[in-house]
Amino acid sequence: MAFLYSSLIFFIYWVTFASLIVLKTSNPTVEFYEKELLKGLAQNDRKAIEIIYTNHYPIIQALIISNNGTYDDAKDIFQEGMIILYENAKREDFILTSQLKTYLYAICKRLWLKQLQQKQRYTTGWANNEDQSIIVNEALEIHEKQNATFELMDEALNTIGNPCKQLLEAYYIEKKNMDEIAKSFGYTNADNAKNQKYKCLMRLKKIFFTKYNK
Amino acid sequence: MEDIILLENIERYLTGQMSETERLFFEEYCANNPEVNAQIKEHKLFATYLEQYGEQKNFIAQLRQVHEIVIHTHTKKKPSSIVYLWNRYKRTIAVAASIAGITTLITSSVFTYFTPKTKPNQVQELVNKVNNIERKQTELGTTIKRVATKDNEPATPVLYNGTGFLIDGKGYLVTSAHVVKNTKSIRVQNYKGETYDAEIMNIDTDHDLAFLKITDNQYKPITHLPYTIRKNNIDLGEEIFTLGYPRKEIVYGEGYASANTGYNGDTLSCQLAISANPGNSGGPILSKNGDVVGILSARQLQADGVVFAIRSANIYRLLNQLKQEDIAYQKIKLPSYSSLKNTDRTQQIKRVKDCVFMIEVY
Repeated sequence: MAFLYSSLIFFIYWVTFASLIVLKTSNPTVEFYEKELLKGLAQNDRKAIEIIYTNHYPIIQALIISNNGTYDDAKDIFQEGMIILYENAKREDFILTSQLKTYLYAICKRLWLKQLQQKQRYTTGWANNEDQSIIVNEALEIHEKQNATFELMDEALNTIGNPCKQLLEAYYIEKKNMDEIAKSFGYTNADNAKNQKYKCLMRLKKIFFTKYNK
Repeated sequence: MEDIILLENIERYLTGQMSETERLFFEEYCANNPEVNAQIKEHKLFATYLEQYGEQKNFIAQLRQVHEIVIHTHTKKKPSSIVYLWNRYKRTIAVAASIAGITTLITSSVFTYFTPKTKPNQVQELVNKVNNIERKQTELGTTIKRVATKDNEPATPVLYNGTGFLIDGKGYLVTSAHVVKNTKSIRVQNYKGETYDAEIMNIDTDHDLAFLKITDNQYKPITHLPYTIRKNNIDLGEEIFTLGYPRKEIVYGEGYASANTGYNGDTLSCQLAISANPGNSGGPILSKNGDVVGILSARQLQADGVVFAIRSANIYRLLNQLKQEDIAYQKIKLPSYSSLKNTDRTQQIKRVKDCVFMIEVY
């Protein structure tokens, strides 16, 4: 009894003093800082990715978890949101009108809502405060288009099979020169490699464009 | 132009690897062959797609790695914010804690001060501790009497009394150890009021048993004890009775065996439902056939009619042990025949009460 009473008193004291603790939230350098972060992100900079991830993932995770999602869902949604941010950060005309936190939150929320609708686990309470901001709509539209293209590319690359795929990736993505490629792929000379690359590219283009133009 | 060379030129043109003259020549070539323009456009588009595709893949791979790192460090990083808060509000917390601590101390001390005290021991040993005042009165009474009768022998005050019973007619008694501990001078008194000097032979506090021997010359040995002492356990529900001296007078009580173990599951003793009072300690518990099944020892304070008795088998055990150690004990012969079977209770009491003594400790 005495113990209960004293712990109650302790609790009251604790609440009184804890209420004195106010956290600093606004910072004038945030805007500049976030611009720099976006620049880093556009250049695929590891540090920038880590900072954005660390600062914003917990909020998104909480959002997804509290709305019928799992930890894996949270991870997928946040990473898709990050891809959208990355795509936009690379665009020269992109200007972040809100805080990074708000932007990511809006995008992830929309993405998750869409997924819920697809899975028909729709929660009505959520749809009402749906964010209709243009910037989000635009970003999502571009993202979807690009995603479709990339899926086609992925499919096409997988269809042409491995020596071809690796060759093309080495040249067009990793930007290696023909001499290096010839060496690492075991071709006698650069001309041989060039020939092979040409054949592969033609096959890839054919597969890609037949589907792309449909 | 051959296709492969055309493609190479397109690529070089697009990536800006051509020299000025080459570029002019190529642009002129394009102007002459308009279908090349479409090819250039197509290739440009395709190359960007392929490049972006690669970059995105790379980015996703990085995201996955970062995710693992963040998930791992995030859980570890959490304490840092607590540490930060701790460092910042150390003083406030210290003040709060000390105020809380003082309040706790005050409240708990107030509580302990006002809570009614409870008695710590839950089992009361049924020794009759003779009240100090009562003792002084008796002393006074005897002084007066002494003056009146001119009796020169000083009366020694009684400290405790309990009950004991014969296990051998030659004058060997059994009682509870707690009745006779811390003393040397003992007197026993039968129901007629005849008092004899006795001495302690052995005290076993673990089993709460003591053997006494009547040393007085006046004592006339009883040739045959009416009861036997039972070796096996008491049965649950068995009807029992006892004789004892909670008063100066011998008092009869009856009840039944209510549990196979004693206080807190003690297997040396058993639980009885019988009325017992201080002074009953050491008294025999007899079954209806007249065999001793136990020695009354204590009662539980909170519960009514819960009394504990030491099993009679312990007498055998202790005696056998002592017989091996000391030749003096070999004289003791426990009674082997009960003459109380199939007699009525009043007859039983009449015969048993000769063998039950009040033990007085000075």
